[in-house]
Amino acid sequence: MKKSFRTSLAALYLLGLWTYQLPVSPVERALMKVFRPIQRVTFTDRQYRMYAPDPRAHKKIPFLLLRTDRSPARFFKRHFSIFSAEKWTGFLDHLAKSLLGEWTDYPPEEGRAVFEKLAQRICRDESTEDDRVRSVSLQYRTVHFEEFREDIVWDSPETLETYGCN
Amino acid sequence: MQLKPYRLIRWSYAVVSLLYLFSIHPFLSLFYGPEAVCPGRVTSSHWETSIWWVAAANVIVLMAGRWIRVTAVIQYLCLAFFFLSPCRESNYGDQIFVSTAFLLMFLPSNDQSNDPWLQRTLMLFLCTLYAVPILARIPGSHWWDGTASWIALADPSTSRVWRLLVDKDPHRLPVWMFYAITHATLAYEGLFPVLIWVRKLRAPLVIAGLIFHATMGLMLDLGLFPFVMGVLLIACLPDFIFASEKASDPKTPEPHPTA
Repeated sequence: MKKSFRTSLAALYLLGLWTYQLPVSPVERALMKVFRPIQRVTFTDRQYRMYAPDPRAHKKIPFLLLRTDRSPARFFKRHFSIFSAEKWTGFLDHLAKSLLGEWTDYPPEEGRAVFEKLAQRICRDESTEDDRVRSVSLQYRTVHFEEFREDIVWDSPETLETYGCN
Repeated sequence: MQLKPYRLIRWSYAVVSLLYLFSIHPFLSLFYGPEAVCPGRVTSSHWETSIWWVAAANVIVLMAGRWIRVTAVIQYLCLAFFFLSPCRESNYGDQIFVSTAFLLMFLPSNDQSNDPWLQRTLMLFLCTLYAVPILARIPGSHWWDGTASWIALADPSTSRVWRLLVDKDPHRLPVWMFYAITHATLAYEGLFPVLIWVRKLRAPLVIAGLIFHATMGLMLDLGLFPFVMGVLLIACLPDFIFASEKASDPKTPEPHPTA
């Protein structure tokens, strides 16, 4: 590769990276028209602003609750490897955010459709001959980190969506 | 086989790629393919499995150092395919990985290459990853009063030690430890983008960074993020680590003195 090409490539990549870090302004909006296509290819449009500031003082922790013939409430917990568990947690978190209307890329209607598909699979996969799954609920509990080193406070669970198995 | 900067980067990239592929394997039918819960692009059956196997075979070839230019591009395309699932996780560690994969498409075809442009670009990229969050944290409060590490370690969704800290005895660890963790994190992330350009400090900074991310990975479930940062840190290793090997390399021609 020619040196000038490599230098241009590195410069474009890093400029694309840095323009996203600029404060929201007319300058940024103008630059985005140029750099957005580059960022789409290089995957540099990460949303630093979402996680860079202070950690949240409260967080909604989603979970799936199953009602079966034998148990009134059973947590749905698949045992993923240490590398995969975070992906499942992230998926549930995004699904809950979508249903709460907190994820703009994923409207609640789409989130509801995803949850229904997921619940259908769980109904099918988790049912056994002597213990059928009756319903699947997506719930969340809010956890508050009030004071430094004080006990965290848990709200009671709230149901986002329930699917009744056929 | 000798240790060369680009060889080490390639190997670490290949290992993290394999880990990434293993991490998504349980979700192939759930997140991708025709029966995926999220609306996807793959409509015919077994495509997602085929792409997974192509990526897995490709990464082995990449690790072996064969057809580096071609395999690096295939790897980027496969990783981008899996990353672009609508069922995307929320911590952006994978996005940093795919973004790194884009740069690593330009790995030199020869490990003996001493051209530092890609290493320097990866270093700048890493500096961005540390510097930008620091700029955003300056006006906040949790990062200055020591609360940030407490919240991270007590967060049940990501902390691996929250049962130990919260369920049993929140006061088990002394207060100074939380201050130390928080301020050490700030110091490391704030100083790294500046000090990494001082050649003598590169090795200790890289070692500190590897320990920092390994500890973070043990304490918090952040997926492959600590491993991806490891790849980028390896790209920052100073040249003198490889210099002694270069001197003893019988294939390296002796410099001819000029008159």
